[in-house]
This record gives sequence, structure tokens and C-alpha cells, in this order.
Amino acid sequence: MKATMQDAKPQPVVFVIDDDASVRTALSSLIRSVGLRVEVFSSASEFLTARPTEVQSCLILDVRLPGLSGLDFQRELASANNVIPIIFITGHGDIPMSVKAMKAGAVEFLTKPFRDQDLLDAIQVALERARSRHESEQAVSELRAKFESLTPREKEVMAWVTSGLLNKQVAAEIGVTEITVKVHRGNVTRKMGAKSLADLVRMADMLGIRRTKS
Amino acid sequence: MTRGPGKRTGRATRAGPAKRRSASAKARPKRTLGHERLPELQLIYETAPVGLAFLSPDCRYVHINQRLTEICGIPVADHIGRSVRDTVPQVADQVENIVATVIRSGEPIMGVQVHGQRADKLNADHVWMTNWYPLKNPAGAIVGVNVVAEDITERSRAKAMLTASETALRESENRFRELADNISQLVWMADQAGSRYWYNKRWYDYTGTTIKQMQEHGWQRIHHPGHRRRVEEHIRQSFQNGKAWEDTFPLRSRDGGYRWFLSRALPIRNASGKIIRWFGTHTDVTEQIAAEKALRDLNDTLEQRVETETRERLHIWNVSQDLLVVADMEGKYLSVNPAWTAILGWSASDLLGKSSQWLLHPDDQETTLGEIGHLAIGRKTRRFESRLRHKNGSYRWVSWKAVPEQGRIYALGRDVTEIKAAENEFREARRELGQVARRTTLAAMTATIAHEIKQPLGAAVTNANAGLRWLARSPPDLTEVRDTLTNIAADCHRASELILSVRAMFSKNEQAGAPIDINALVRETIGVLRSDLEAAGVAVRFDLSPQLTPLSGNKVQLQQVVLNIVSNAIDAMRPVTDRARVLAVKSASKSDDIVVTIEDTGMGVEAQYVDRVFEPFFTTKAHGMGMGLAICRSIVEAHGGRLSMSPGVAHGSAFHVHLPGSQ
Repeated sequence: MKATMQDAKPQPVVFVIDDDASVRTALSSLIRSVGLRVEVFSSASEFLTARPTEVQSCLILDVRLPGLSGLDFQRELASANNVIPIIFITGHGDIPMSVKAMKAGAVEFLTKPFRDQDLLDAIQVALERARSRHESEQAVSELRAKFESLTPREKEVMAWVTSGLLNKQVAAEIGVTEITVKVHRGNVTRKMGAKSLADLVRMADMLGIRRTKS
Repeated sequence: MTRGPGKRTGRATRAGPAKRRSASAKARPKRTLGHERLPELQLIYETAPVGLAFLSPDCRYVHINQRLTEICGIPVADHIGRSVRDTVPQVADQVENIVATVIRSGEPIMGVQVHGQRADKLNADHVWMTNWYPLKNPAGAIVGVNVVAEDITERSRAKAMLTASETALRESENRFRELADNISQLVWMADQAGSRYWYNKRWYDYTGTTIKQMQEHGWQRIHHPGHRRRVEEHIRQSFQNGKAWEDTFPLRSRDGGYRWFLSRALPIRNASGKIIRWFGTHTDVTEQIAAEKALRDLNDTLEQRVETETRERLHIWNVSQDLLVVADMEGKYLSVNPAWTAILGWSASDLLGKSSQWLLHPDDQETTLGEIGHLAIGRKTRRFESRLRHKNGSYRWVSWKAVPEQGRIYALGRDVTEIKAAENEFREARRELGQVARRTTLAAMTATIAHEIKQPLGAAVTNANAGLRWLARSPPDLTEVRDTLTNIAADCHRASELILSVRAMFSKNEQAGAPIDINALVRETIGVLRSDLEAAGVAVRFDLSPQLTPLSGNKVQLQQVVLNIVSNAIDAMRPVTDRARVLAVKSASKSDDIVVTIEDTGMGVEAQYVDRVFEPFFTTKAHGMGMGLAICRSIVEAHGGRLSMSPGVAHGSAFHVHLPGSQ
């Protein structure tokens, strides 16, 4: 199923982890009824074993899980840099628990029995979040590719220029003439496809290369 | 010869005294002795100061001189020829005896004392010293006895007196010596110049010296070097000016140690006031001096100690972080320490002369008066708390200890405001914790049940929603709809089963475990609440019957029952202040049943509510849920028993858990 759907444009997918089979079945049916892909797992470890790679996806997670609890699993994913958006569902939630989950970045915290529309709305939010994150990640990787095309000296000049230094200051900083800095700067702007210095500064921010004068 | 003078004397004496004497004196030598010196002898005889007589063997006077006649007062002439018995009958026996002896033996008898009275001095005894000489005629025959009698009455009296006075003197001296040698003092005598010539035995015994050593300046040797100069100087002055001497100084004993002596010397004067000698004594005062010194030291130490202690006590009073107050029996402040200013802001002048009434929190005034009343009848305050107003208007909690003593109340107050706040917080936290603990099992159970039931219900709802959505699709996906409906049915069945199993949880048969020692269970459960009981000041009294048969049942559930009842009891006793908070826990067997009675001295349940306490959601507590006793009753009934309540003996409530013994 994954293979067949993974054509030109990747389809978003909803993952469900719940230890209760009847709940899994019901959720699966509901999610599929609105035309979304769904994959269900009975435990966190089962999910991890499958190692799904879909970038546009979200996770519906029961708080009370055998073994690792939902909240613990959320923390574990975060520490592994897995930023998949999570929707919590619980049979017996309390406020501190939901606050904790939301603080840790959960999209929604739903108490069973929940309204189907609430869940579907939450899924939309989660998938949108995944999509935009995916897009910004893509933009960053494109940017990084452009940055990598710069010569070492150009990278250096970009870092200093975007840190707010004037050309002559950059020249003094790296020990070349102001003319040379101007040339490098022109190359950088061109190669990075920046429309303005402000654009270049934004790029440097995204790349995390702005430097502060030592 | 004897006869001659006898006859002549007889005649002569008859001739009249003076003339006859001189005549016979002339005649006798011529006639009888034919001797030139006869008149002289006659004169001597007549005038001799001793009595003389010549007695015939039959004790008749042949001659007698004037002196001897003085005994009887009869004239010389009238003696001649008369017997001794006739003239001096008082000595006749003795005289006749002596004369007979002399005549018989022919030997003189010398020095015989003859006692008698003179006719002129009949009331005075006289003594004559007599010598008796036999007189022999030329043929050697004894013709008479010459007697010489000397009146020695005066002499013997004088002698006797002398002897007596000598004896008295000797005795006096002995007595003195005895006294001097046996008194505890060392005694000496010195001449008028101060030169000592006599010491008593004690002196020698003590000092181990001899009179010779003493006379050779040994006196100084027994003086302590530190005192010698002064002592010598002073006694020398006394000897010079004749004034009594007194000093106290150590003297060395024979074994080299020193003892202290009080020494005195007095001049002895004769009738004319001239000093004839000095009399000195040394009295051992070592013990007294030691005692005095000890006393002085003790006094010094005591004084010092008293001073130190007074200072220290004053210091305590001043630096104490607690409120110290002395009040009279009405509670009027007489003295307060500086802590009052530090803790409450009031100065001593604000406080003195008034009782604490104006300072007290209105709610504490009555209890304070009561406490002062207790103190007034001699009871100590061990634990009493009141709120006193700070100068800034806030109140501080003060915990008091006070003692009544001789019309005064001595009280110490500790500011416990912070402690009390912390305690309250702690108690509150504890109480909450206790409630949490108490409800944990129930809450956990409830949560589990809720979760378990919500799972299939939630799934059913989701399935229904999904089914609706599949139906709404165009075209409707009926396969999916059928699936969802099938799932809904399954979910609902599951929910129903769950509810059945929850009901079964409370059924004894499903939960029967190992036999339960109900006493142990009660103790353990109350042990869990010990800190709650302590915090609420509740004393627990167990009266558990040792002869209980173990019962079968659900231990956890039965613990819940005890936990609930005891927790309620603590809550009921918490507001009680006028009586002891006692939890009486009793177990007993009653026929086949075991009855556990848990009784408190709390507020009790108002009569109108007694029947309702076991109803679900009925509560008399502000924050109660009204489920505890309802669940307890369910649990007990599930064990085939019965849970009931009655009013406590004096106060409070008693809960009775009847449980059937093991079958």
C-alpha cells in the first residue's frame, strides 16, 4: 500500500497507536472515511520497529499505553529529533496531563469519547503542520546546497556581511582589500539568489551562520 | 634510897609549898643524898618544864613536881602517897600497865604517848610524851619508877598541821601537774623576765623537745619561720610592758609538721602587784582555722557563684528569645523581659501593671482567664496557646508554660506563629495526603473502571461516526458501514461485560483470599493512619480479643472499611477541644461472628441523620463525597456481614463491623 501510493506526490498518512483493537479499528475506519491514509499500531515499540519514513504524517497516540506511556513516547520522539505532530486521545485524562502534553508540542488532547469532527480537525491541523515543516526543511536544504557551492572565502564573507559589518570592516577582519570583499560579496549574492542584503541575512539566519564579532 | 626521899618528900610537901620546898630542898641532899648540889637538883626538879614523878610499884606518888600536878590541879603535897588512879583516873590504866611492865622487865620504856585531859582544860585532848625509868636500890631491887612527862600537845598539833599543809601542798602540786600535763593545751611558765622554766608534758610530747633544749634557745626552733619574728617581737613587748599576750601561729610538732595554736600568756602578780611569773598556754586551733578557712572559702565561692549565677540569670532574662513574665495571681504583669519588645513591639511600661486582657485575641480571652484560674489553684500550665497583639496590630501565636509559686505566676511564652503556620500547612498537607491515600484504592478502581468502560464506548461512538461518514460518501461504502455496525455491536457487548465484571469485583466469592487475622488487619490499617492520628491528637486504645478465628475475605476491601471508619473518626474528633480525643478499637467474638467496634469521642452524628449515614452521596462534611460509608457497607455486606452505627458511650459514634467467622 505504501509502495503503490508513493508516486509523484507523497500522500499524507495518519499513524494510530492504541492498545485497544476496537479503538484502532474504529479510528482507522473514521480516518479512512475522509480519504486519508491510516496505519495502526498496538504499541509504541511496534511503531518504532516499522520506522515509517513518511514526512507528511501525524500520530494519534493513546495516553495510556502498555509499556511506554503516551507522554513518555512523545518525549522520546522529541529527543530523537522526530518532530511528527501528535494528537493525544485518552479515556481518562486530566488537566495536568493535557497541559504537559500540549507544552511538549502536542497538536490536540482529546478525551474519549470525542466528537469525530474534533479528531478530524486535529488531524488536518497536524498534517498542515507537518507539511509546512516539511516545506521549510526543504527550503533550508536547498539553501544549504547553494551555500555549499560557495568558496570558503565567500562563506566567510557572507557570515561577516550578514552579521552587519561594512565591507571595509570585513576586509580588516579577514585581511583582504575592500575591493576583494566587494567581489566576494557580489558572488555570494548571486550564488545564493538573494534579492537584497535583508534576504541574505534571512538566509544566513536559516542556515545559522551569522557571526558575532569576537 | 627510894623510901628515904619518899618519906621526906611526903613530909616536906605536907609543910606548905614555898617554905616546905626550900626547907626540904635544903634538908634532902643533906639527909638522903648527902650531896652538895641537892638543893639545886631540888630546884630543877621543882621548876623543870617537864613533868616529873617517882611512882612506887603500886603506882602511888612518892615525888611529883609542880609541872606534873598541873594535869589534875591537885597541889604537890596532896599527891604524895595517893595513887595515880586516885588523882588522874583517866590515864590510870595506861600508867599502871607501863609501871608494871617496867618493874617486871627492869628496863626503861621510852617515848610512850599518853593521852588525856588536863583538869583545867577538860575539852581539849592533851598528849604527853613520857619516858619511864626503873629505880633500883643498891641491892638491885626495883623500888619504883621515875616518869618524865612532857606535854607535847602543842608540838604535835603544830606538827600535824605542818604535815597536813605539806600534804595539801603536795596534793595541790600534783593536781596542778596532773591538770597541766593532761589538759590539751601546751602550758609553760616563765619568770618575771620571761625566761621559761617549766613546760607541761603535752609541750614535750608535742614538740619532742627537752627542758634543756628549751632553755638553750630551743623555743625559737619550733616556730614557723614565717611567724617567728613577729611572735618573738610581740611576746618580748608583753614581757616588757607586763600586758597579756595573745597570738595565733603555727608550731612545729615532733614529726616536723606544723599545727596552728592560739597562744596566750598572762602575768601572775603578787599581792603588791609585782609580776612574779608568766603563765602561758598554746591551744591547738588547727581544725578551727581549717574550718574557718573552709567556711571563708565556701563563702567566697558561694558569693562568687551567687554573683555569677545572678549575672547569668539576669543575662538569660535579657537575652531570652522567649517571652518571660512574672505576674500576680490575677494575671497582672509585674515584670517582663526585653523579648516582649523584640517580639511584640510593646515596651515594659506598656505592659506592666495590667493583665494580658488588652493584648489578647478576643477568642483567647476566655481560655486565658481559665488558664490563670488553673494557675491560681496551683496547677502548672504545660501547654497553652494564645494570640497576643503586636504593636503593629497583627497577632502572634504564643505557646505558654507557666508555674504558680508563692502568689506569683512565672510564665514563659514562645512565639510559635511561624511554627504554627508551618504546622497548619503541614497538617493540611497531611490531611490531603491522607485523603488521597484513603481514596487511592477507590480512585484507582474508579479510574480503571472508567477507562475500561470508556474504551469500548469511545470505540462505539467513533465507529458510529465513521459509519455515518461512509454512508454519506457518494456512493455510500456499505461494506465499511456494515463493518462499523458490527464493530459497534462488539464494543457495546464489551462494555456490558466490563460492567458485569466490575460488579463481580465486589463479590466476596470472586475475591476470597488467604484467611485474615482481623486483629492484625485492624492494627496494620490504623498504623497506616498513625501520623494522621498523632497530628489530630488522638489517642488509640486497643482492646482486641486474642481468641478470634481467622476469617476469609478480601483483605484490601476490609482495610478500606477500617480506613474509612477511622478517617471519619479523626475528622469527627478534630474540632473537639473539651475532652480527650480517644479512638477505642475493640474486637470480640459474638457467637460465630467477629465484631469490630470502632468508637470515637468526636462530634457524633445528629439523630436526624443517623439513618442516612450509609446512604450514597450523604455526607455531613464540607468536602465529603458521601461515598465512604456506602462503599464500606457494600463491602461488609459482600462479606456476608453487617455494618451499623450507634452513638458512642459518652460522645461521638461507634461503628460496628459484624463479620461471619470462617465456615
